Formats: sequence, structure tokens, C-alpha cells
Amino acid sequence: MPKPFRLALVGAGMVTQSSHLPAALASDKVQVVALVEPMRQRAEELARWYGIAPVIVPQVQDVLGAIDGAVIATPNDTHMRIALTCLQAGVATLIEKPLASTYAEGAAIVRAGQASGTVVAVGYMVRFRENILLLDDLLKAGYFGMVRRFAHQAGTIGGWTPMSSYNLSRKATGGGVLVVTGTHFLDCMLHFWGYPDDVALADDAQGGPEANCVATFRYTSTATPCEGVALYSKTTELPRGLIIETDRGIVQVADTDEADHLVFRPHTHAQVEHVVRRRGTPPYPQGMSVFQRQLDDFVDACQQGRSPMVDGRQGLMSLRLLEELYTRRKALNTDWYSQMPAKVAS
Amino acid sequence: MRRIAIVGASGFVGSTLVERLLAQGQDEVLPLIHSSGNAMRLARLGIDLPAVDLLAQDEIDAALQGCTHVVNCALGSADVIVKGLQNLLSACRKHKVKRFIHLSSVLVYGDPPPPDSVHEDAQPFPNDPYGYGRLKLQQDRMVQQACRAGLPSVILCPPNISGSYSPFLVRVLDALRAGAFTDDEETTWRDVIEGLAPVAERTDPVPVITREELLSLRTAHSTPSVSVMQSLKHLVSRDVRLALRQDPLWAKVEQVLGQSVTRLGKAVEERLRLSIAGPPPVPKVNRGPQYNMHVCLQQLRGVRHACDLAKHELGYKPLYTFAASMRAFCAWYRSQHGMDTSSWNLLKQLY
Repeated sequence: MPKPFRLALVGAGMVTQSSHLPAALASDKVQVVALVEPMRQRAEELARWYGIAPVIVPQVQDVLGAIDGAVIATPNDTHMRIALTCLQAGVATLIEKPLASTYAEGAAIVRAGQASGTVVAVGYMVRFRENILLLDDLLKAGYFGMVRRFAHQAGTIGGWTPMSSYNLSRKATGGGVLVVTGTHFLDCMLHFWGYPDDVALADDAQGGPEANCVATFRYTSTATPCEGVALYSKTTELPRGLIIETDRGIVQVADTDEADHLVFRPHTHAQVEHVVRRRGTPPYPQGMSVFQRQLDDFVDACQQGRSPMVDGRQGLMSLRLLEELYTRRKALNTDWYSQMPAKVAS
Repeated sequence: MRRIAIVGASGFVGSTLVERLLAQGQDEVLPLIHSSGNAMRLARLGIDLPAVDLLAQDEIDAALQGCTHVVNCALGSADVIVKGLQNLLSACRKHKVKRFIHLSSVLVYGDPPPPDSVHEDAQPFPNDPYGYGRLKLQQDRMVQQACRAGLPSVILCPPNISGSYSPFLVRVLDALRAGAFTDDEETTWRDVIEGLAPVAERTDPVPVITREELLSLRTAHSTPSVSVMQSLKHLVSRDVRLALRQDPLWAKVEQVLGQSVTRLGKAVEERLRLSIAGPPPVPKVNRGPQYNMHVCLQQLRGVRHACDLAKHELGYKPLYTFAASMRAFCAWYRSQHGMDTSSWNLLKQLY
């Protein structure tokens, strides 16, 4: 049996507490040897809560000689500094999405990974969902026909509450709901169909991170031109999901970690829908979280000398798309009363 | 210039108030939030959003420094509602705040609020099962006491609030998509339903459930009185027995009882089972329209709230008519749900 992969978790905030640490503890491939967190009390509480006794240090420099890899789960604008420190010391990094808060920072991370020959993985864990893996296979095989249009949406009234409140700062996140919620789909879209030929964005930001946005994409230079829309909100509950229209029918893709199937409704039989599910052994054991799948893939990539499922280059492509969208942004109308003629006379 | 603190600024009312005050540009606005999760509506404006824990007296004392007016829209646990308000009132007195505006709830009069809840002299009677109305009433009394002690205060008990972002209208719209409403001369909300029907994309007339049908269904759905036999049935039900088996003593008792009944013979055992459990239930299929009981029951009250008192007593000047407010909600909803994008026919398959 190979030696356990010595892992440091950098950042003891919400996502570490709820996802990365439970995944690491469930995995038999890793040993959590360090928690890196400037607020020591928070890390101590986390360790006590899970009954572990890792080294607790304020900065990753303090443990570089004692770890094989690090999960970086800190505010987006701190990713580059921490990742460069790790990569320059030959420590592999799994970086929470997005790779960084700007393309330039992301490019620096990728360059550092290439220079040191060290793995850089990006935390787009949606890619490890069974229904997304199945969709990827079937789209490549042309099973559903030629894609014409797609639409993805997700919306919650509030939601994710990171302990540092960095989500309220455009500088710290690199954007708003498009980065926080939408970037998972953008990563999938880039993986399925490549970089779009034309993009547009409308959002409601007025100096801060946007709470609502509509992004549109066009693929015109491919053999089968298609277009899509992505709608995200932090002020409205929207049913989550992806709808793909092909020349043969409609594919509905649930947007949950547990989803293991797709639904296909052929154009020819409106009253019928097919549940499409993988036969035989599932790609991952039942009950294994997407975060554990992602972590195991990261460790395997480090130990086998291969690329992880989502590598730094792909993470960088997402940043390029985000920046292009923000560059082309237009303002969403948010003055709902402006065209209301029936003002009350004073 | 007034310095106005809005406590609980990230909620529906708080956010709307902050946006409106900022747009007017006449006052210094201090939005105070509890946590960042719900604050994106305001964060998008690029303004500072200090987080304040109402249970920490020193935090709220520091935050209200220099404030002339304080509006309390905070929600939270029972502790925050009561102890938090106590701290807030104490800080307001300390800073000699000129006016404290407290957002109470019409639920202090009951859920659904009875017809006399439109009058200032209505008797509060909080009866909602979650105790929210009782907590809000407790708050009202604390504010009244602070007012008597010299803190100029206003308590507002808003009923259902319309306009963009309105959770009430979203709830009615969801109910409208799903099913029926009542509609006769006595019921209210006809204008609300008419205003929302285009957004719900209902081309057919909204199904109607009559007052009599609704009241009879309410009776059928109300909690039944529990008889000794029903309690016995519950005790011998499979779920209860499974739970009791966790206790070795109960497991033993059940085993002995079971063996005794078995010894009486199959026929007696079956008669006993029937006498306790009765015949198996016959499922009935509801062929009538679907409806949201809670929403529909509110229609039957015949209550029409008005803001006349606020106009007379507080000098309130409404900015928009009800119809304009409904149109604003519809415009907001259409935008938020992408109803005007070319992909709406794809997106709506997710609903």
C-alpha cells in the first residue's frame, strides 16, 4: 500500500468545514497533516469537531517540507500568493474555484506549476457528478443529436455565507454571482463545447459584485453552430438545471451532486421522456461525495504523474471567459418603477 | 443631514429601504447586516455593509454612533428578536436617537389576521403555530415601553407587501401557477391575481374554488380530536413499535404481548387487529382544482388594509399606486426569471 498523501488544508472556512475536510477524512488516500489558518481558534475548533490533531499553522510556509499537497480554500484574491508559495516548493495544489481572481494571477499559477512540474488542479467538483460524466460521454458520441441551444440557471435568495464575508467584495472574489455560482457551468460549457466565438453579459452591478446576471454565448465557427444562455441570481429562487435542445429533442440535466441520470424528451413524441442512466458499475462508489472524488483524482494525478480532471490550464480558460464577459458587460435594468406612469400625485 | 441606520438591512424591507434612501440622496445611510449570505442585493451597489451582532451590546453601541434615526428590520432567533431588540433600544437611548422605527408584523393580531386588524385599536391575538406573532408582540411592548421612557418611536405592522422582490407576491404567483383561488364578491386579491396572471402565463381562466368548498376542505384538513382508541392505534402502530423496541424492556413486553395474542388463535388475532386499526383506508383521488390552503384562506377574510392612518399620523406619502407597484413586480419577476430572453421557452421547462 502506498504511503498516504500528506495533505494540508489551507483556510478553515465554510467550504473546508463543510466539504474539503470531510472528503479528506473519508478518503483512504490522504492524511490531513496540517490546517493552515491565521485565525488559530477557528482551526482548533474544526480539528476538535472532527477529532483530528493536525499541525495548525498561520501560513503555508510553515509546513512546506512536511506536505505533498495542499487544498487552497481561501478568498479568491489570495489564491495566487499561496499557490505560488506551494508550487515553488514542489507542493501540488488543488485550488478552490475559480483558479484566481484575475486571468493574470491565474496565468502566474499555471506558469509556476509548469516550471516546477507540479500538479495544479482546480476545484470544479461539478465535473465529478455522475450525470455530468454521462452527459460528457453522450454529447461526444452524438447520442442526443446535434446541439442547437442550451440554457442553464441557478438562483437562491442569499445562500453561501463565507466566514470572511469576502463574497461581498468584488476585488476579493473577482466578480459576483457569475463567479460564485455560474463559474461551475462555464467550466462544463468550455469542456463540452470549447471556447465560444461570441459572448455577452448583462448584470446589475453598480460598483459592487453583481447579484444577478444573464450571460449569452454563441458558437459560430463549429460544424454545428449553437447558442446558449446562463442566468444566475442571488436575490431570487430559480429552479436549478441545464436544458439542452438538440435536433432530436430536449435533454434535461439536474443540477445536484446526487443526480445520476439525464432526461431526454424526443421532439417526435412530446408525451414521452426517456430516463438515461449508465448501466453496469458506476464510475464512483455509491455515497462518495464529489469532493472526495475530486480529492482522490488530485492525489492520483500527483502519484501517477498525469493531469487531474480539471487542471490549471482549464481553470485559466474559465478565467479568460469570465474576464471577457465582464469586459463586455452591459447594465441590467433594475429601475422597476421607472416606466411606471401611475405615480401618486403629491 | 439625518444619519439613518437600517438594522437588518439585507432583508426584503431593509434592502428596499436602503436602495430608496440611497436613490434619494438626502440622508447618510448606514446599512447594518448580520451576515453576508443574504446581502448581495446591497453589495452590488458597492457600499460598505458592516456586520453587527445584536446580541453584542458593545457592537451595536459602536455601530449607532452619531445616528439620528434607526429603523429595525432585523429578524433572527427568538433570542435575537427579544434580547437583540433590548440591546438595540438601549443603544438608541444612549445615543439619543431622534426616532426609532420598528418593523413589527400584522401577525401580532393572528394568522391569518382578522378583519379588525386594520384598526389601530384592534386587540393583538398572536396565534400562529411558530410563535412568531407572540415574539413580535413582545417586541412591540418593549418598544412602547421605550417610547414611554422618552425614545420617540413608531411601530409599523405591515400586512402583505407588494412591489419588486415581494416574497408575498412570489408566493401568490407560485400558488397561481399551481392551482385555484377563491373569487366572489366578498373575497380579496382579485386585483392581485389579475395582475399576476400574465406573468404566470395562464392563458386559461384561473380555476375557482368556492368559499364553501374551501371552508369544508379546511374543516377536513384541520387537526382531528384524538380519541382513546386513536391513541391506542398510534401506540400499536408499526413505527411506534419499532421505536420502542430499542428499549430492551419494551421489546420484552411487546414480545410477551405478541405471544399471548398468537395463543388466542388466528381468528381472534384478526378480530383484534380490525377492532384497533379498523379497515384499511380507501384512498380518494382529488379531481378538483389544486389550491394553496394558506393563501386561499387569507382571501376569505375580506380584509382590505389601507395606509390612511400612516398618511394622517406620520405624513406618509405613497410614491406609487397599487397598480404601478404590481407592474413593477411583474417587470422585476420577468427580468429575474429570464422571461424576456430568447431562451425562456427552454428555461421554463425547469419549472
